Amino acid sequence: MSEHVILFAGPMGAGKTTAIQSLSEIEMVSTEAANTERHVVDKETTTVALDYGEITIGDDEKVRLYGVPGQRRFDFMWAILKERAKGMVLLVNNDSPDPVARAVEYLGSFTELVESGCAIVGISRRDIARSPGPSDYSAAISAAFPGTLIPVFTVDPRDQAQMTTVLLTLIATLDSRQPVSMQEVAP
Amino acid sequence: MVATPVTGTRSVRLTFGFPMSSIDINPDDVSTLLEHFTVVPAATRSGGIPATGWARLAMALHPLHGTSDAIVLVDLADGSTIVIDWGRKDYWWHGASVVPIEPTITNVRLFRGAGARLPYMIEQPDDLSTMLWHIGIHAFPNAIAWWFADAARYRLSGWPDFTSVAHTPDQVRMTALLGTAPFTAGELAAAAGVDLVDAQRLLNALSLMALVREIPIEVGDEPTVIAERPRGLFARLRARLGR
Repeated sequence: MSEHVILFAGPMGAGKTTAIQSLSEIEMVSTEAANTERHVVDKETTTVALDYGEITIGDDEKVRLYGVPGQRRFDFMWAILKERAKGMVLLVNNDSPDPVARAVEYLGSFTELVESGCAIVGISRRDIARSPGPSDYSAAISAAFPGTLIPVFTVDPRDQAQMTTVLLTLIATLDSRQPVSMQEVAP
Repeated sequence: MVATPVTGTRSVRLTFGFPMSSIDINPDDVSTLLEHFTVVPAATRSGGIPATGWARLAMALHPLHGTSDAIVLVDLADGSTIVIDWGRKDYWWHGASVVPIEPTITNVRLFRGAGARLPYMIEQPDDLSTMLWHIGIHAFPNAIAWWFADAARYRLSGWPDFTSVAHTPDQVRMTALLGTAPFTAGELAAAAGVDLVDAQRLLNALSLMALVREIPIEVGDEPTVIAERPRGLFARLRARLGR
């Protein structure tokens, strides 16, 4: 069985669980518990271990979608999962305080994936807070990680078509880094 | 300066409140375009103005990259008006319910001045990048845009927001390829296994959005024949997800 692990990371309330629900072909496995930080994000439950969904391709290939908890006290989970990850989708809620700095901070926890170009950023809740825009994120990410070119998209995690675009873009960037054969034309 | 573009059902009165120069570009006046905007030899090579009106607007907007002090008003034959705040990268479109593929543009008014910004608009704007993508894809449907150099390759310098624009999976894949190496349109088409015009249209859009950088081909730099890249997991996942 060939498998491709994709992480969904980001702060609490950014839409990681919803994004995996939008993409997964199976009933999502979730580890939700009561949210004890409702002063941070006002929702009843939050992910405490991981979310899991998958997409089967043919008979022997799967894309495994793992959502990691957003709170820093669970960052030991990030270390476990990122070892197996081929790529990462970072979701950031645009109506949170200083979302660009938070995005850069989270990306810093996944440096290997970011520096190898295996990451993509999704800005959620931009309908609530229009600014900052994708170019603001791109500028900050380029400054923090020189030489990288990370796609930054506006997303609604509930929108399956948008999340499919995000996933396909990430896979396209991974594929594009495969070795290529180029032949010089004989003069 | 006051401009009052009249739209189909309403009027929008714009009071800029600072000195600006303006240029009215008659869409039939090629000499005005040639005089005021940078046009590389591709313009003459193409044999004339492309039929679609978007090409004319693209020619007016492309030279604005690198500046932030401009407001552009675009009148269309259907009575709608596009208002562009170049500095804020926002636009408003008054009076149109459908974005046309081939519009008839009756006038482009370009206002330039230090700090040129629209001071106040009631309606929420849209991201200018989404309009630039649409213009770039449709402006030169069967050719590379006039501003492209003859001997250059292009490399991605930033991603378009693909969830905000109508796109194809091939455009996503070509964009990813442009992030790994510089390509001419022909090389990109070969690497992606698509028609040349599809690669040209993508490069036109990315260039109009200032998302590619030009890399001159040096004398003695031999052209390359590029094999089509393996479609890999992207193709399998695309088929699985019905794209």
